Amino acid sequence: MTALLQVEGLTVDIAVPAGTLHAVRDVSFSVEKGKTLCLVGESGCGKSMTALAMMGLLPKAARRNARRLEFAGIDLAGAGRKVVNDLRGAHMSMIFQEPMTALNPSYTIGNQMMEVYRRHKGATAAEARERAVFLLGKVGIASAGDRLGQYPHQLSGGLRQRVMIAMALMCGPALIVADEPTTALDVTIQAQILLLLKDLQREFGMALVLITHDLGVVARIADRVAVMYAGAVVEHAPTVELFAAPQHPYTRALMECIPVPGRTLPGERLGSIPGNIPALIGTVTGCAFRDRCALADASCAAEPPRHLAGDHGWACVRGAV
Amino acid sequence: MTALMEVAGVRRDFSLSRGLFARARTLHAVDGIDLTLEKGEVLGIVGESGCGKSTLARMLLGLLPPSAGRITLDGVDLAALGRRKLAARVQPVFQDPYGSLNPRKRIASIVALPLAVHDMGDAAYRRKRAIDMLERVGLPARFADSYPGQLSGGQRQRVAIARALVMRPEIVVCDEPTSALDVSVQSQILNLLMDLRQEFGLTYVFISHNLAVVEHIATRVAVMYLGRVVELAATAEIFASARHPYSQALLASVLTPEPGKGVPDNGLGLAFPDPLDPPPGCGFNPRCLYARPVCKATAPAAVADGAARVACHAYAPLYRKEFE
Amino acid sequence: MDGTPAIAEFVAPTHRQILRRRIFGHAGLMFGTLLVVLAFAAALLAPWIAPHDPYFQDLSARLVPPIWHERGTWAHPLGTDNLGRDYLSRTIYGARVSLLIGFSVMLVSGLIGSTMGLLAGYFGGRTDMAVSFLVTTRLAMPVVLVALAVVALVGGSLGVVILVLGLLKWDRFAVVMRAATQQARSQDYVAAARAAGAGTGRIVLGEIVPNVLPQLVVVATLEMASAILLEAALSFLGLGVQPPLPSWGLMISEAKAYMFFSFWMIAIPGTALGLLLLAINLVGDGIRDVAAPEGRA
Repeated sequence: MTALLQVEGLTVDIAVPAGTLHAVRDVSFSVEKGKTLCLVGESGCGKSMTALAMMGLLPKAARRNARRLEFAGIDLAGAGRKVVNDLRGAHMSMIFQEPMTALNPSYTIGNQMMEVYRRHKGATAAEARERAVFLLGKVGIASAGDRLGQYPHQLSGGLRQRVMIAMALMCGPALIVADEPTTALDVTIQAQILLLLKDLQREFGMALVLITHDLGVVARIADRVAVMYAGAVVEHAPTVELFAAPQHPYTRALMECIPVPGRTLPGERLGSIPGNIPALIGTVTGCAFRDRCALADASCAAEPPRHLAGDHGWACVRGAV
Repeated sequence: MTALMEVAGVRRDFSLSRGLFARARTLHAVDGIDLTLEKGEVLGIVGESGCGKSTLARMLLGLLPPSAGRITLDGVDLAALGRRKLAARVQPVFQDPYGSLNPRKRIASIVALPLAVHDMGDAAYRRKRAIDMLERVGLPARFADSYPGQLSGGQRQRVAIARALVMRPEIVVCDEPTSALDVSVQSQILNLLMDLRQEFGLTYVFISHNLAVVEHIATRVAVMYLGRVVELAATAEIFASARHPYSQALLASVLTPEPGKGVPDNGLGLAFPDPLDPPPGCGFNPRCLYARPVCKATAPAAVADGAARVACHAYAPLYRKEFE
Repeated sequence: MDGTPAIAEFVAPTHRQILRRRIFGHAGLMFGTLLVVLAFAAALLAPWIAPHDPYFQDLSARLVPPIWHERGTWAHPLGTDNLGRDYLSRTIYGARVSLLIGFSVMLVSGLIGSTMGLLAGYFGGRTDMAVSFLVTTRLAMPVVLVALAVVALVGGSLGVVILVLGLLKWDRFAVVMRAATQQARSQDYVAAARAAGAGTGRIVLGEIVPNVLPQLVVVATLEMASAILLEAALSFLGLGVQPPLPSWGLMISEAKAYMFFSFWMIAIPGTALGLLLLAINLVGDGIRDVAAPEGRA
């Protein structure tokens, strides 16, 4: 099976007053049709920038480079603005963390949903409306016809995120990139939204790139996981494999940090990672995690070798544990 | 164990004005809560946004007076105790470490503020106490003259904790203290809170929407829904066998990092309640899988069921057979 | 650990370094400050730097043109007016009047307005309603007309102009301070201070005022510029400061009869007025840019 999305050697550099911020450093991954990849990491690890770089939505000050950036056989890096604009929305769409800022407050949701469809598919208003009602029903919104006339502020947070998902589905995309889609929501609604995404994925067969900081979400929804730290992917593996045998010290430390019923005792000390996430301004040499790593030694100052065991890869001087 | 703080029949209403000529609507943010806080315990309060948990926290801190009912500390009504006496015994840690520190003051003077308010010692003494406390919470003294803008989220939350503890209070009300932090920083703050509890013999009210964190740190848990406590039990009890249908759905929604289990179906519908216009009877009835006619008619009172207190008709002797 | 950091040391600049960089990197603020400092220096040092007595009339040397004119002389670099008074000296002394009025009006109106705004923003409720009512009432009055009426009634003088403008121009202070205070008051650091037992005075002065100060300074500079302009307008209409006091507005007024033959008479005080207003506004804008707190721009 060939991958739907292939990213190789993606870098994003942002010019800031103090120098160059290396937000994404040599990131590679691929997503197959109908599968889910999670990019997981803490704030500032470059996961959102990676998503924006894929979608061609980077801020002006950012510069993107990639050895390969291919979506359904189309070279996104070399493609012109027009090609990318046509792909975006129609074949690849994005769901943001805060739907209130992603939806235009001065248009009704029906207006916004139909606009996408009519622009990309050249459909009539009636067809677009029919499709919008159909999809709002799919995402579990009752009396969808009436909802079309509502404005974003008239909906609750959970409903807004459902509308965002329905809107992302309007043109039947092959790929959806979701950046922390449930972080702003309550836990019961988070579970409902993720379940919905999973069901829709099964039904429509689209691939999903989900960006999150929540290892619980990752475990429950991903087929593959890429763990990011300081702008780079430090480990990637099938989900079951990653949770069963994490290899990179950062992945292992991160998993120690969260209380898990059955594994950690109530009131027990949790693992922690000393120090802070580095500011990625200036030149990065060797392993970026070594300042905070309990296992670091002199050999970590060199570029860490990449190990690959089956389809489980990690970048550390240490081999498998 | 003795009850340190007691919350009896507390309600808090907010009047929301909708322009000059519209009639103001009333929001019952907290709608009749009875709770006790035992000395030395960690009382976890869980619930979703809008359930009134932060309003309750502000009332416990004396920042908001209850509209009805009373909150007492060692039997003395908070209103009668006076703000300074209360402040010496009950202190807050807020969620947003960016908003809770004054951006135009230096760290040492932020931490020393409670001491200054209580006229304790001279400036040099207060500064020394503040720096001692900063070091105790894991922040080196060199940060004393920094501004909050120069610190990371975790460091700021340490400053907020140092400020809360500098007066050596008995109770610390933590309102989502780790929600704004990264996972690796969250665990540091949780460890610190647990260490400090040991060292200073603190009692915590720990408010959070993160159930895994609450299970980890709390000794007793109150589940809130639409301004009411729907279930109250020891942590192990509630996580092993939740009784209220809402508690069950809440626990079912927790995504533990166990791959292969898939995304759970918590069985909740889409009938989100409007806090301004709560449904009649039990507030949870429109989303409840087990709702019976009685649930739409009357609001359930809390009843004891084994080691827990539950506000659900299914556990009330009078209605129990309707649910069989 | 091997000692070499993973990422080439990036030293976070200190608060003071950032501030210094922001201030000196701001061209508008630098230029505005330079002009304002020059104007203040001219006003303060007027008796020493003015070449002549601004009131001395030399009827034998009336309407001497400035030095760049072919008939100009170094005795009167900016020429003389219709009564033979040295124009450079009068312009320098005019800065005194403008700055004195601008500064005093700003102090009077700032004190009234920011107190009202702080009270309304902090206490809300009835206090807020009362202050909002006063602001609305005040906004319903046209400043120039009321000022004209009052001055016409009690007679124009420096003191009267300051008092009238000061009592009329507090509205923007009140509106801005009210909004800024409301915003600051809702922050958790205010809740934390209250939970620490701090009283209203300590919270307002210690927690809120430092956070609304930058906005206050910005409004103050803009209001100062506006007061200077109003004084000039009143004086131009003959209802501001009275002759022979050298006010730029008055000088323009006196020059209007000679405008077609001695254009410089109107252009020199006009340029001085324009430059001063520009400079003050640049300083205000600059302070607003520089004072945005770090990290949360």
